[in-house]
Amino acid sequence: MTEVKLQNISKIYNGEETVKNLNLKVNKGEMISLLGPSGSGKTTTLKIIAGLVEAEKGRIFIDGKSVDHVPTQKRGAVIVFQDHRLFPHMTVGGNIEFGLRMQRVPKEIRRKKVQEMLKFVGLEAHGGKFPGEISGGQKQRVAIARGLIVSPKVLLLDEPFSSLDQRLKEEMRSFIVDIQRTLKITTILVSHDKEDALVTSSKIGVMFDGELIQYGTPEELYESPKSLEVARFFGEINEVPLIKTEEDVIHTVLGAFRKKGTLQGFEKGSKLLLRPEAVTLSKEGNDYSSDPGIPGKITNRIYAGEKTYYEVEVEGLRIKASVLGRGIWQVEDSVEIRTLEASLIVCRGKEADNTMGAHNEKE
Amino acid sequence: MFKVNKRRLKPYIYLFPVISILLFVFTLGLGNSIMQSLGYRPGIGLYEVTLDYYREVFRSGGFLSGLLFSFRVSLISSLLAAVIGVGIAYLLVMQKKEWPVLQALLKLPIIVPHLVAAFLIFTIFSQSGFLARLSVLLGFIETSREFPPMIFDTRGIGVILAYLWKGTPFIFLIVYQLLRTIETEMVEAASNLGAGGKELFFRIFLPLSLPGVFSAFIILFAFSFGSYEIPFLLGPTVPRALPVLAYVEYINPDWTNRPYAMAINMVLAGVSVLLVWMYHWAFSRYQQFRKGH
Amino acid sequence: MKRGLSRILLITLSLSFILPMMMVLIWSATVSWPFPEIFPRGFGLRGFQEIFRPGSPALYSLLTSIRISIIATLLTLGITLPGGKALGIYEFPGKSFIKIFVLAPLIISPVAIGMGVHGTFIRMGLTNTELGVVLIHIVPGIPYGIRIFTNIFELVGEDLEEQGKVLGAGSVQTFMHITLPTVIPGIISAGSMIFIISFSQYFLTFLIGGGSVQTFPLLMVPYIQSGDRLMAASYSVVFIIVALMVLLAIEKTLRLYYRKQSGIAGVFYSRKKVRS
Repeated sequence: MTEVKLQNISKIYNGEETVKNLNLKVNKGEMISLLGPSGSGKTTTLKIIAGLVEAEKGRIFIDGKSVDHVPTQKRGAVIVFQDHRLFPHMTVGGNIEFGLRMQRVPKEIRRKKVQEMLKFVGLEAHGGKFPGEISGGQKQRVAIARGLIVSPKVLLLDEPFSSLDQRLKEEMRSFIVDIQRTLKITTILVSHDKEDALVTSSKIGVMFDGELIQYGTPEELYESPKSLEVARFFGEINEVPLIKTEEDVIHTVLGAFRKKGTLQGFEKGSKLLLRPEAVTLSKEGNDYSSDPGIPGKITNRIYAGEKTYYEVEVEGLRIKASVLGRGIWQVEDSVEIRTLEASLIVCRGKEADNTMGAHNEKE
Repeated sequence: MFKVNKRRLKPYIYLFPVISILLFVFTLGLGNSIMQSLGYRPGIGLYEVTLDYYREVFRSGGFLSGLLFSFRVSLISSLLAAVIGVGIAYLLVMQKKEWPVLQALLKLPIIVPHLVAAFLIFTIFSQSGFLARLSVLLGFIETSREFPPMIFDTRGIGVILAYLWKGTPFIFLIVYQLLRTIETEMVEAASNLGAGGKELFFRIFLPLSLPGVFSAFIILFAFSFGSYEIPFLLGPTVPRALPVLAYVEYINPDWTNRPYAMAINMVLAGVSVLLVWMYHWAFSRYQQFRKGH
Repeated sequence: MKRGLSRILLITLSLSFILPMMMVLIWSATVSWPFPEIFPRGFGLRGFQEIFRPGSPALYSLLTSIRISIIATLLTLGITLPGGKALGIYEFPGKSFIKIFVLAPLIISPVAIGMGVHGTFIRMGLTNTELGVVLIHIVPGIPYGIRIFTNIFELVGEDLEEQGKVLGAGSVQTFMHITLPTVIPGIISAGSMIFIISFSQYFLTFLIGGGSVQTFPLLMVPYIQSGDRLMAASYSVVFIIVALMVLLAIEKTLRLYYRKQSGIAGVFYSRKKVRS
């Protein structure tokens, strides 16, 4: 099992910084994700770890040893690319065998290991086929098997599910989670899809414009995102319109809240966020709650099967809400809005995100 | 930091062998020729730089008629090759089947060397060739002398025919590959919009293949303008094609004749540089054209 | 245009380019065919017997030709493959100029090039040697090699090589197991083109080889010049057949290499087995 550490990594492409002062530590046998929109520097980061791209600044440590001068082929950091990159002139078996051949492993052992690997990924029947003759999901398995057979120190997965349809995607996610748990390979997955990250990883790093904004457990990221951007990445969110802040009370369009519990960190320039599912809607005049509701009017309703999404107008502002199942309200209905105080999220304004690196080091 | 530099150097390292050979040939070779054509020949004690040789070359009747001959022969043969090549490609694309045997046979002339092409034209068009024999059989003529001379003739018909025979399949191949990629998508769209055979040819096929045809034409022209074999075997002694003339001057035992040969070579190369420029112009046009789609 | 008419036109036009080749074939197999007869007086293989008789200069020059052209082809491929890779994959200052510069041999007269370097070749002792002829044969093939490899690498990119490196292949291994097999189609078409250009070369061979290096085309020319049609035709036929055979051999060898690279696993699981 291997530990990977990136220290102050920066990369400049055509005069633009695609990776900015990145610090990241992946513990032994852990699987983490780098999440961010395309062009945020995730894939470049993977290539830097594998040694395909040289960083201008910073250092990389694998198991505590600097690998800055170790060539790609000796790093033991294998990337499985989004487009599979199967060698078209080799059979499925030949592709999987490739890494062993490069290590000059004797033929008999190679043959045995390829057999085992084919079985492991469920492709026993396809060893003699060429990449052009198998399906997308099978290609994905071959690409993963080809990487696994060399027992890499670090497995780097570059958008492994983006070309698959929904059903295959789910199948492949659990396949990868299974493999990772069985083999305990330190793994970094890169994706733009939050579900990929949430389902597979014990930690997630969110990247925007080459910068690692936040790195933590899925729960941390979902429940206490550091910025509106991060919060938005994990789903729809309301930025609660503020009215004024007093010593220990925050007045908002959705009511006044005391600065205690999660709201303790609220300071000047902070934002208050609220997930749609933390907004409850009830009939006007309903007084089962001691808490007074804020009156609003439904302006839009989208039925999406497991959930129904609402837009509620409150004092000229639109608030998003969601309820499980089929919501009973229709457009034009008057409702009362209540907020679960514990679900309010405090995050900093955009400018105050640079303390990230230090935060990681503590962990 | 060292590694970063090495990566930047990579393309130059890869190109180094090719470029150094070309630089060797072109700077040393052409540089040498320029100096000699200007009369600068330290090897035999001539240091004076002069344009006299160019002046004399341009004044001599042999050179001017040779230049004209080479130019005319290359232009006519390449133009005809382009027209016929495009024609065959278009006709083939319009057929329902691919006609693979015909295609393969049409490509055969490409691997036949120019020497053989010259010989082939000779066996058919000379005064004792197949056409002359046919004319006797049909009673048009009685002796071989009556058959109009097409080989070694001053108009260069034999030379043109040989270049045409070699050049047409070349154009055909390029255009056919181009047209085949256009065919399905564009033709369907165009016919759907009501374009008939004529409109299809002039509004779709021709404009789309023209840039490719043009660069192929330049290559053919440059080749026939600068090559030796065919005019040497099939051309007249008066006027002599420029490459043949240059070689005759070059092997003249009188060494003071060398600068004339080099001056002629410089004209050959000069016309070619002009062609490179035209080629580049055509190619960038082509790129723009492609981008427009 | 009606389909029938267009078909007739196509066939007529094509035949006017294909049929002339028959003349050479017929001439090579005649015994005698005096003017003005329209059919040969008899058929025989005297020309071929002359070329293939033991100790004939033709046979010897044929071997010289094949040797020179194969070496020239290998060298040209060896320098244009990396050159084409650089132009096809990387962006770097001076690229657009180099792209045009490498096409120069296609455009500038071989007569001017040959005479230009002749003096230098004499001083370097390269004239009248096979090495000199091989070197000068490289030049006209360069544009074709560069063009074809540039196109191929633009298509293939560097992705597979990156993948190979990541899986532990060193530079040499990456080249042998990945780069080379993926550009095999390019090597076949560029190699064939370059071989044909070199094999057909007359002027440059005879200028630099100075008569001491007797390639097949050099022996053929006197027969064409003197009007010995029987011999000229036999030489032409032998030339074309040998060229086709070498091209075929090039293709077969490379395909074999390509197959070998498909991995031993490919041999274990034969494709038939999979289907059954």
